[in-house]
Amino acid sequence: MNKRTALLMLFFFSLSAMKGWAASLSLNYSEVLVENLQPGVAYSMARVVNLPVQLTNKYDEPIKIQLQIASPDPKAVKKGFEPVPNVGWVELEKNILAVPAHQTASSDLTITIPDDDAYLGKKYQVNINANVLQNKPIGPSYSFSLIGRLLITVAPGREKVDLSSADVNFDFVVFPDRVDMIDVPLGKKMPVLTADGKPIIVKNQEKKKRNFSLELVDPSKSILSIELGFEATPNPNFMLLPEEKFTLAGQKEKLLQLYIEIPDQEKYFGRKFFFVFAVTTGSGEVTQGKRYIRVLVSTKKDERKTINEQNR
Amino acid sequence: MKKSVLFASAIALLGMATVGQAATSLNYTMTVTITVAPIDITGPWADGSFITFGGTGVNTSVLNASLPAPGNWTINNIGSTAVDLSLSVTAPSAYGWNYLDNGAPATTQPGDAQYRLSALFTQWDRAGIGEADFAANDVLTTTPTLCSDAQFAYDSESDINFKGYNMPTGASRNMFVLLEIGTQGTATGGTLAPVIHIAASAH
Repeated sequence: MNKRTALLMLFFFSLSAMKGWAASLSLNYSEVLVENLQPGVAYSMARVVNLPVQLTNKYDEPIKIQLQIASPDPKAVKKGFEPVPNVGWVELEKNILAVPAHQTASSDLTITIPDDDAYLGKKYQVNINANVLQNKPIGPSYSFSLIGRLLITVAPGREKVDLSSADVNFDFVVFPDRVDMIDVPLGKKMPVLTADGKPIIVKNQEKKKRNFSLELVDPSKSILSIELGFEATPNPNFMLLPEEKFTLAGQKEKLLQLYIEIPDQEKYFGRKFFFVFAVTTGSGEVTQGKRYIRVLVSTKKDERKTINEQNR
Repeated sequence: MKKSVLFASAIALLGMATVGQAATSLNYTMTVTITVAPIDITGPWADGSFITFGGTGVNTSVLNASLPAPGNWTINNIGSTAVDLSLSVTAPSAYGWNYLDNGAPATTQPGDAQYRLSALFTQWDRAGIGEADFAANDVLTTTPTLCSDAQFAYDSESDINFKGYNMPTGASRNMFVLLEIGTQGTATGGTLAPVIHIAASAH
């Protein structure tokens, strides 16, 4: 019996049982780097830095999410890191989250490196899988998951840790978290603004005042992956941060005055550069929190060259 | 060196060590960096059974054009960070049917009471997608596997904008699925619900 003949036999799909739609989901732990952990100390990310795992359901239907800690695919491990030897080092408060439509649900996450000097100075990756679960027992035929990366570095040596005075709160936002600048002229100081002319804003959502600092990040030396079609900026200092430190009162915001100035040199025409800067809070304290913000800059093409070519 | 000088030096060294230790513990800082903005994805999701295996046996292959569409076969990156997609399947065995996670689609046929699923990303309106377009590295396994130029891809497609990795913000990707089912053998009819998982991670 060949396949085509068999196709006519009793093979059918239960179309009537199928109900399909697109789910829309967002995960805050897309990539989080936790540095300088001490072996033998339990770090609750919700308690220490107010950063639980959060999932936002942007769809009109409630969904259930299964959270899992998993060892990463060895082919997908960040350069310089290794898969965590035991996924049990990272524990979730909840494994199932019921997320109503257009709402966010969260689970604490606790990291504990075993109390052994053998782990000092090591760098590990562990994944956080958020799988959309079915509402009916028979199960969905298609489902999707979001995979977050948790990157952990263990301190190089033993130190005493008192987390009771930790004061970092990730209750600050920077928006937008990415700016695309197109047709940027060379040799001019251009403000970093969104396509609709808005600057990047830092907002302190806490009630008390908080200190912030800005710093440039060299993408070529960082763990960051570069977006398709872009290259790391040849010089992070092409981005100018006029004000590197500032304080925000409770529930206040600040418009960041940032600029890009790329030298007027032929080699920089028609290029796509990837810039990153960090907004940090809690500098010099027991805990410190940072958010990386991307600025993607496409420079203008060399118009002089184009005009010359047209005149020929 | 006189005893008194030695004593003073020892005290000084001890003092330095103590100060050093105190300074280290006072300077302890744990740093947490959110390096990538939240992943934000819209993807297909469907309740209900996927495949009903016929009562007297089947031996066929079906492209997703014939499969019950879950309403949306497209994955959209609606966040502000590029993502990589990976695919896997939860393939139940029941009524005597078993999942085959190897072999080359269209070449190595599933045997008695076996079925296999393969998937690839390409342009949504690509005409004439057939079994021959699926390769051995497009077969879904239970282990999540990252997309690449060849993995879960239309191999002769050179445009990365139709592949499942480094998917920029605002982009969409379209997936085609091939289902192959072997002869019935000793298996019986029944409904199986294999789940194709599409996972997104920050690039």
